[in-house]
Amino acid sequence: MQPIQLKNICKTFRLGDTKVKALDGVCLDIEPGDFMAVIGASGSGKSTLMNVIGCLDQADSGSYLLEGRPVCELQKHQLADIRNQRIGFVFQGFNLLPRTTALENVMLPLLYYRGELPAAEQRQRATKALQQVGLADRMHHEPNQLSGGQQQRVAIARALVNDPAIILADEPTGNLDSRTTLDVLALFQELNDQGITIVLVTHETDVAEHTRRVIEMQDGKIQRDFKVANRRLALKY
Amino acid sequence: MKWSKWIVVALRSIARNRLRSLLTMLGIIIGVGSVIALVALGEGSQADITGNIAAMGTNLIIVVPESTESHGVRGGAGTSSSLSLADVEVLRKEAKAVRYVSAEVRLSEQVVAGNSNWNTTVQGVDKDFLLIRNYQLAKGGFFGEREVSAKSKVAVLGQTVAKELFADQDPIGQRIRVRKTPFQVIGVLAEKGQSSMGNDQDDIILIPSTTALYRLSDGKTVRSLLASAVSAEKISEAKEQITAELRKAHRLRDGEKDDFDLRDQSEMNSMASQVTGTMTLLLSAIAGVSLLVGGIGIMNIMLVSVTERTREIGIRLAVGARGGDILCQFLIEAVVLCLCGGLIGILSGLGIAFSLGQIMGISVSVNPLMIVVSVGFTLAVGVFFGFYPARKAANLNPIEALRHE
Repeated sequence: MQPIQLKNICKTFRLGDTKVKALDGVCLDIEPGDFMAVIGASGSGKSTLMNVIGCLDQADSGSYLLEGRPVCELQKHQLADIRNQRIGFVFQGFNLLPRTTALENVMLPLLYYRGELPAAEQRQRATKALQQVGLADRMHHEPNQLSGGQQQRVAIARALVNDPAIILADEPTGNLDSRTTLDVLALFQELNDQGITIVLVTHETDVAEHTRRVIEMQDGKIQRDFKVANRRLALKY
Repeated sequence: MKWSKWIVVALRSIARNRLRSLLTMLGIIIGVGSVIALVALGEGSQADITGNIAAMGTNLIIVVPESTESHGVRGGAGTSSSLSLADVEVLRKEAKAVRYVSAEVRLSEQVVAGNSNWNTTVQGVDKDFLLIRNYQLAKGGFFGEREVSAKSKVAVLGQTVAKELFADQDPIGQRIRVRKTPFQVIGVLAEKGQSSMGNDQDDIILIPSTTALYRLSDGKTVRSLLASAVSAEKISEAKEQITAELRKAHRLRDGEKDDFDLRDQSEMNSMASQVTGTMTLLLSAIAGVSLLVGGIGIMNIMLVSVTERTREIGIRLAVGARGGDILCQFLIEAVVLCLCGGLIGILSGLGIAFSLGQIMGISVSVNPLMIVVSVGFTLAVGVFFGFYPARKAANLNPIEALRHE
């Protein structure tokens, strides 16, 4: 598998008359199978970096290669297809569809899959993803019948269902208590051990300590980039 | 992507928000329902009126005297007494396109039978009157040529008169008195009900025209002649023959004005359908406005729903929905909502039309074209008013949509 390569990525936002450089010449390689944390103060550009990597947003300049494809040159609908097939998102607020069962939530990305995928196989894939996150017995529950940690695991299953090149998690533990935080981190570590690439945005250093690599953002630049020396293992409760 | 998939997505989304969907549909339901109900009732009453006019008689032509004119003072229609019983004979013999002819002598009389009395219309007519005016006999018989030429004192009662004078008794063979002249009841007419003008067609006594004219009246005033053309197509031919024969019989010279006037049902029909047509048009216009309002209601709710579901749209965009997918979803949702509303509207409209028709005694005529048109219209409303909110949803920025609270 090819790495994710970002070279000289710049992104400027206009706020009235002032220009804010959210990303200022970011260069970053993410190896397949890595588990990386992006930390930094708010406004440091870490969310923008996430959006660019996740193809939700396009850089103003620079180059971004995702599995060899130059993302910066792609059309809007091509970006949508990349998000659909190569990227999994996990959000702070879970972002599950309300009044929709866990299974249907997990099947949502498959709905927008452009190839032939019979309904039976969609169901099978979604069931498998839910098994991976340990929620096979909660398949037919709706989000309001699930705890926060369970909802986040459904969201992770949704990110997994398309067998993505990378899972992007934006503050995935921000809404969780410390116990379920460890639960979710344990799940991420488990998935990472299976070879899934994960990028996790957080502002909590002890969450970052569970990853393999940390980059610290400041003013749209990468300030520090280091391997985690003593990776903490989150044990499931 | 397959359409069936989108319809499933739209249906699920509608099912997830049942109350909101129902409220959205309400405008369309009311709009379509009122269109269907009003048009069904309008067309039904139109058919009623045409039916009533047809029930007045078969291929009926009415001959009335022209107005009088003496020294420049003109009376109203039918004020002259130019028609006579001889005219009946002439038309019966000479006018080939005319099947039946009857004179009509109308008198308003106080009728006495035993202890009861009743004021009613006594009508002097000829033997074919029943056939011309589509009356049926309920009991007994009718008078024939013999009774007419003999000026017999026989009477056939309408249902109302029979009830008023004899209550539960059998009127056949009983005697009644009209202006001191005794009559024998030989028959009772079957019920005919109200005419399109609202008068009771059963409040009537029929006696031979000669009896009415010579025993009860001045022997001159024949109010009108009723003629029945051999077929509907022959009505105009019959009218020409009647005109020619009556001019000859009345010895009118060329260039002299007719001293009589002809009327037939087509004139009444066109007048009545003009009135009811205007009514139907007016009602449809009102219903059309309510459909428009319903459509705007759909757009309103869809716009609100786009705002309310911004986050959902964000999620869908994040997991790989293209703008076009979102557009399709919202458009189909609007169309499905409109169609469901339309179907419910059609059903409830028909229900309302039939129950109102029952209550008010109007017939209901369901025009399939109207149903097709209203379904088509709701479809158009769905697309038209759904498009703007759908495009708005499709153009949302996924990042901002996800951040939306």
